[in-house]
Amino acid sequence: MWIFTQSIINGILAGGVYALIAVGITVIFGVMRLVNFASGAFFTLSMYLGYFVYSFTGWNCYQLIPAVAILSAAVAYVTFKFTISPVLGKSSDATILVTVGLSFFLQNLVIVLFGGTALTLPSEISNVSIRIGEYTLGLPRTIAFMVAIVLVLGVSLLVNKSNFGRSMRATAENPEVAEMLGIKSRRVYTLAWIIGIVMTSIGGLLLTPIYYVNNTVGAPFRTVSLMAVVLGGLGDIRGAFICGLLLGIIESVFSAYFSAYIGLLGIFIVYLIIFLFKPQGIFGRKERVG
Amino acid sequence: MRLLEISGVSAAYGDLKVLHDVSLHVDEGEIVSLVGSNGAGKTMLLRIISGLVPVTEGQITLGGKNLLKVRPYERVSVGLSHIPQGRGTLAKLTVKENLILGAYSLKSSQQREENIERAYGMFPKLRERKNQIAGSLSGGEQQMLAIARALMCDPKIIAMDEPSLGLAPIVVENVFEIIQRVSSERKIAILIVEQNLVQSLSIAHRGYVLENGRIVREGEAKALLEDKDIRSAYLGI
Repeated sequence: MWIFTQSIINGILAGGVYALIAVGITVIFGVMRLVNFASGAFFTLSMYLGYFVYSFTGWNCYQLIPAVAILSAAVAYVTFKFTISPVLGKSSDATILVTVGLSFFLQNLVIVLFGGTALTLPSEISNVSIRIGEYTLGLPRTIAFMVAIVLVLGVSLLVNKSNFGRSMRATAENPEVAEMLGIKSRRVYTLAWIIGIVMTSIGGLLLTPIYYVNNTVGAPFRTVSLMAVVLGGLGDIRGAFICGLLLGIIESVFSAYFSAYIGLLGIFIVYLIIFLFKPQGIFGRKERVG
Repeated sequence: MRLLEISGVSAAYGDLKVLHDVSLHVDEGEIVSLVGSNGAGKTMLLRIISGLVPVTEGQITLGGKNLLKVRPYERVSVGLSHIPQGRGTLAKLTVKENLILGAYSLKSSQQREENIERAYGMFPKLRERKNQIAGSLSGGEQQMLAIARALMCDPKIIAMDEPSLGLAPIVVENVFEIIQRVSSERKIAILIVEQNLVQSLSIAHRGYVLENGRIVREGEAKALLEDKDIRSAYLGI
């Protein structure tokens, strides 16, 4: 029983970052129907950006958050302008190819800039953990989880309550009508992209105390988060969030009972089983065709 | 006073020419009906006014300003409000959110609040349902919402695409009454594009008949309604 409870705790903590990235992907998808396959590469890039700023300042991972948020927002803006914007409204094949291409580009860019060897961002709390009764919570994961929750809550408040959120939802539902009301859809798309990318980037940065920085570190995070987005019913922030946590738990339970290498496999198995019975995802509603 | 002036507009979907040298105008506070059968090019003309379709030739001015130079999302700020085909209400947003977005172009939030109150005063049903999502309203209520939302930005003119579409005859009558009331009380010009010839001409001051992308008749609405050719072509009497 101890193993089970402990693995659930680990899973929820690890799932926080999946949920964060999944919500980032969802914000982008929800507004412009574009699946961001480059999320893993931005996750990776943010770790390098963190390393870059650290090499001048010596700041720790948490002090680096504002700097990395600003830098990744800048990268997001530039990539939107030159890669995403030209294909928006074109076929979905084009948007997929562009984000996949962007992903390769960024992954190789960091090798050019920082070299191919894995880097570490030193952290004093890498091995620190909190004990609650007989259970242990790794401190870096706990902080990452809490920051993720705060960011997800902040973004869902922004989307549901603010004026900008209303214009986002209007654009998501009907861009032509939104423009008739005076909403500049390009601006909404740009901001949605930046918000999504910054969320993903902070997710990456928060894991630097426990992950090596190398150019493929983001790949499993991208895959799991995309699965969470699909399971959550594509475009549903709450669904993506809950499924992010859920996949974290599944991975952790499989790792605890079988082997650490099998955690990801567990996610794929459960994913396929769910899709066998609920092809619209856990939170997705069936849509009438025709 | 001339408000909206469309002169010599032609437009095409790809190689297919849809509108040929269309000219019409709407004066301040006037209701003008553009009638014609399916495929005559009515919706395309409205989409041109909204900036969603480019013209190949011609000029459009609103209050003396060259409308074709104004970007689509800025047209609301020069006094143009739209009710697109299918009403354009945002089904996933609440009634109140739809109204708030109607005033997106207004700078002052106090003005926005006042306009929302005015909309509720005009359509008490909308106040009752303000927190419901717009998709849960009936067709008639959605048309009310569309009209209320179009008024939120204090426009000089509202361009409407088939307000009668998909509504029961009794509701259609009600909707046209509202349009007439709104226009006369608030001195707002209205351009209605309709297949429902009798209803839309009976509330209009003037009318135009569009056939195969050309304006074939124009004149006082009353005269058009009594015209023998039009009656036989569109009403079969």
